Amino acid sequence: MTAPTHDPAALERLFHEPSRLAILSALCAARNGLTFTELRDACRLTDGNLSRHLKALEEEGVVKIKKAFVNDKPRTTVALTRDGLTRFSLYLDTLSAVLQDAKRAARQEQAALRITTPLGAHT
Amino acid sequence: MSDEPINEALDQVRRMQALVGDQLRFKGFSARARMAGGCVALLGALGLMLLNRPHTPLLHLAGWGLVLIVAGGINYGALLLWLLDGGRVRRHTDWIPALESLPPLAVGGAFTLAFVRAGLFDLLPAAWMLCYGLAHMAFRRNLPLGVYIVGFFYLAAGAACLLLPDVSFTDPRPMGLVFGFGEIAGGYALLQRDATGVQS
Repeated sequence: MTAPTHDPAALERLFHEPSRLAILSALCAARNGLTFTELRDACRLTDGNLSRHLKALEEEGVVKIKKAFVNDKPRTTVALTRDGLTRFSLYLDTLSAVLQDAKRAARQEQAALRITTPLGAHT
Repeated sequence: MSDEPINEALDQVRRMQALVGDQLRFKGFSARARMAGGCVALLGALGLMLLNRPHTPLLHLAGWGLVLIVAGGINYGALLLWLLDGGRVRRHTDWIPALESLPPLAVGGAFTLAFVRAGLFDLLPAAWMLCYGLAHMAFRRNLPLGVYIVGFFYLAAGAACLLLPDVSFTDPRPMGLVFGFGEIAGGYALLQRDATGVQS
């Protein structure tokens, strides 16, 4: 069996978390960002959970959070930064490569099983 | 172990990559404006060929200058309309890629001044094609692959004009054909981008 060519440890930990992947995917699909409420509903997160993730992403410069008043009501808008998009794109490239490695390994494992298992065992 | 879950995960990653790629892509250049610019270059070359006057380098310089003003006006006018976006000014991250082409174009301008002052008019087509080709390279991450290939076409044409003997500035055919078909092909690549854009 060949060794994997891509190290899973190289995956950026900032993004490698289901809720953050959901947040980034939702923001990628929205050209001009999303309001806090839209993002919370799209990702099915609680206010506190979303705030915590957004704080971490903002500190790393991945998202930009803008607070404004619209019709006398506060509105928080979240958008991806260009640097954040580029970093997320690199993360996805690495993730894709790791998955390709896993697929290759799974196929080799299946092939090895077919060779070592006696024919009678399949019945 | 079945590779079905891995295939599903790979599909999801590819969908996200398409979304990210679409966000990173620069959409400010108009396909139609670019194709119109190519037609202006072809018409400019035809006009210079049919001109019933002594074909001096200065006359051709003025002719190509006019083509640059008209084609540049169409393309940068379309870019300006996109930037203003119906009164809603775009985020600075949206228009920054538009500035990435400026350094090679500025170098082209400096070469033009230097070659005109030295009377080296025959080097102008090559310098313009090479600098314009380099401007395409600046967009390699933000524009479709077709535009990148058009950039290589300009670089190859520029190198040929530089190295081949008997390329004269007063013969408008090389400039007209290269910029005419180059711009139409570049516009077509942008048109394909618009047709296959990811829907969010």
